[in-house]
Amino acid sequence: MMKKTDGLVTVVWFLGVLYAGAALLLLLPKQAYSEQERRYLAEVPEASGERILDGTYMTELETWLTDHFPMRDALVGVHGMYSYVLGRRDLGGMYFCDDGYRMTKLTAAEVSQAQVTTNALALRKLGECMTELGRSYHVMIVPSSSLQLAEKLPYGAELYDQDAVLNHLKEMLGERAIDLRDVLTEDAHYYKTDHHWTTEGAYEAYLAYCEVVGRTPTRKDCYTELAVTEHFRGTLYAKAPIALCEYDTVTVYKKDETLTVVADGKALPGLYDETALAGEDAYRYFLGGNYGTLTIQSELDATAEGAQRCLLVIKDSYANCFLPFLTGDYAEIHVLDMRYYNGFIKEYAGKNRITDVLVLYGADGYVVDENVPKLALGLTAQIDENE
Amino acid sequence: MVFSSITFLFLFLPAVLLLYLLCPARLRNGLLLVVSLFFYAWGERWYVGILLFSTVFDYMNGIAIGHFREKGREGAAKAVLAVSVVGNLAILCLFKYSDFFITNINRVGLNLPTLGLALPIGISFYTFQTMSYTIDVYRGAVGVQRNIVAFGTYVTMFPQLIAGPIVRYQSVEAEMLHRRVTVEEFACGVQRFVLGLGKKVLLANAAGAVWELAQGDTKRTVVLAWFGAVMYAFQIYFDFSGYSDMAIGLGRMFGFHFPENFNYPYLSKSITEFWRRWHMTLGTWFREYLYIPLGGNRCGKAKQLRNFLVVWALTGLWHGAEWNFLLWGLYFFLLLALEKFCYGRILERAPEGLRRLYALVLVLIGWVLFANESLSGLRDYFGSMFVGTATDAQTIYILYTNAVLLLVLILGSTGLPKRVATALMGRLERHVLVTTLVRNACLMGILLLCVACLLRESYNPFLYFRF
Repeated sequence: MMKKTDGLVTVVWFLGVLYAGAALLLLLPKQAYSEQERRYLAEVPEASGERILDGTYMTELETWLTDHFPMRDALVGVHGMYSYVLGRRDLGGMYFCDDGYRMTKLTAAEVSQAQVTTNALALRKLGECMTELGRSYHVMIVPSSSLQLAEKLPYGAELYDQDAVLNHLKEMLGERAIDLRDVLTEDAHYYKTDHHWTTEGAYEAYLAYCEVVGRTPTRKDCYTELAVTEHFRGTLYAKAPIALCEYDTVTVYKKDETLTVVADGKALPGLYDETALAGEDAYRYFLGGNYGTLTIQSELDATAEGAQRCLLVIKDSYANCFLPFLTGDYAEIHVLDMRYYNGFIKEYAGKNRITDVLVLYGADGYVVDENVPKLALGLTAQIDENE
Repeated sequence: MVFSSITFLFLFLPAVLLLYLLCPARLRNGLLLVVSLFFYAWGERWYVGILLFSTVFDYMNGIAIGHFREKGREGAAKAVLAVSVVGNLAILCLFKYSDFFITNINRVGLNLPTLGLALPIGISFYTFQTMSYTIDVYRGAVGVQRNIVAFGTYVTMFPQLIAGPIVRYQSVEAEMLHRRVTVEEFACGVQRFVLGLGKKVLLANAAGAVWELAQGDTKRTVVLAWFGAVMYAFQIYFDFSGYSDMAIGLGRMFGFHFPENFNYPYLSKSITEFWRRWHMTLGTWFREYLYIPLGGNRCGKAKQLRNFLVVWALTGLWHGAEWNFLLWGLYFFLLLALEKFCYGRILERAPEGLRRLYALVLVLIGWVLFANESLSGLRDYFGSMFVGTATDAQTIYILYTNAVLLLVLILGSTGLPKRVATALMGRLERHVLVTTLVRNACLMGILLLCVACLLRESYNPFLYFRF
């Protein structure tokens, strides 16, 4: 039995936590979006008779309560720290690696072999069609840090076989597949806290791309290197937000140029979104997000190599920091994101007088992307699963 | 509703405590009854009707039995008792075992459709509780409860409704009508509740996640198979004992003293001892209401063996309507019979460490039986514990990322943390401020850490929920 004061203290803090929690939970205004976790928070569940009788209301209420719990951000951080101290080396879909790195955890069970094969087939079909119509066609599937910096992973970390996917793709596409596995070998090519590559990494890939298509790349000293933020904590941080997490620096290579940028019909001030630096996701600085269609027109000299060339880039968010390097080489760049664009590539390419095509995805996104097969639509042949 | 949820901790409990405090003493049972029905209906909706039916049914049976006993009409009293027992078992069988019977009968040729009835949560607990009441009324061990609200409160009280401990009416008969809550009692309840919550959320859930990994991996290595089984053993212990702790703690907050349900079962030195430390209220129930009425150990060895068999077969089946649970029960029947009639004496003279190892290994194998409901899954899992690749990189990853957890689980299963804490508090006894601060800071820390985990972990199962 405990003494009276001891008991009183216990009762006071226990009831205090309970009632303070309840009051704050119910009375505080609610946010719709969590910056720290990069996701939308649950909405108030609908209290209809049906939903109460089948129990969905109760489950949704619990979700709503956990999503809007007071000091959720701090508490989620506590949970992450507790898990890490307890020895866990993966949390929320990412691995804690050496040197402050975090890497996406994607296991074989989470990657559908069928999807990977269908995607590769679609890329091949598109390639055959584009080449037939006299366009150059290249595919760059960017290997992730979990492959390129694999020595940093905790021992025994389970991952899908990315090498096999990239090799298979190389087999299917031949020379049209640009293999970056020998190019992106440095720590500086990948962010520690985000699943994207750094601008430095994108530049190395740009050099590789120019070599393959036979163009002279813009030299590094033609750019001004700027660190736009030194406090970037990206998507991999959001998966397990802990105070004890490193910061990344986001660099930008800027040069003097005049561009006209139009995204989904709206004119953008440029390739960079300054407002993104004030928020949590600094990677949004590049392009300001993802759009269905984007066009970039550069004012190039009439005698420049790319003055007559029109590039089509089919991409996921990996291309956002890569595109700025291409503006000096193409008079017009069209950018399509298949998550939001539903038209036929062949039609688009024809209408916009495309001369070159580049498909650019991050490997981890590519293997689970269900929109890649859309690339094969509207071509002369259908995808034959047995090929 | 589950105790380990934000809905319970920050909506239900604060509301109920406030109402209970403001409520005049004579209306408190009524309040508890109403909120407990709400608690049950929240999770089970229409099935609250079965709970109400069971309550009213045995309330009336109790009155009838008492009435006939008073009049000296033993035969009639016995008949009503039979009605009560058969009725309760019928409800239990219908909702829990009917599809098991049907599926198995279908195996011999018939093609009956299964009923597909979902299991009402807690039915195995509350039907056993109401039966204990009518049997005890018949035996004259308790008085008839004529106040339906008080009786209803006994049956439906939310602290122990869903997962025990199985509270016999005689344990709380006095407290149903007269109970006091003092600050010290409430604080004791808080401590018990918070520690139970910690066991469930911080320990059981973490262990369970590893078990799920092992069970789901069809190509598990030998080492992972064993490690997974060990993690399951910890999950079920901390889950179930944590829930019992929460129930006892909550009961205390309302002035009830429920019986203990666990007593460091993994410290046992024999299987016999294990079953005196694990799920003690179930053991007590089966002993009082089945073993002893069947003759217990008073009718010779053969009958005693038979009684053992009946009790353990039913104990197994009580845990679930599947063959593996029956096998689990019979497995313990075999071991207990052997200990009782064969090598019990020899075992007692063996060194303590060996006895502990003996008990732990056998209990672990029992858990593998318990955890795999499909017989093919069971064969598969047992197989992988003895045949296959010894270990691989991923197994090592699982081992070292859970090493600290394993250590905490092992320590938590012993009485060591409690002894250390008591000794520490004893040393600092004169520094009241320090002891108060340390104890309360630790408890509050555990509570907040649990809340943090509840916010993030979508994995929050409760294993004894199928009962």
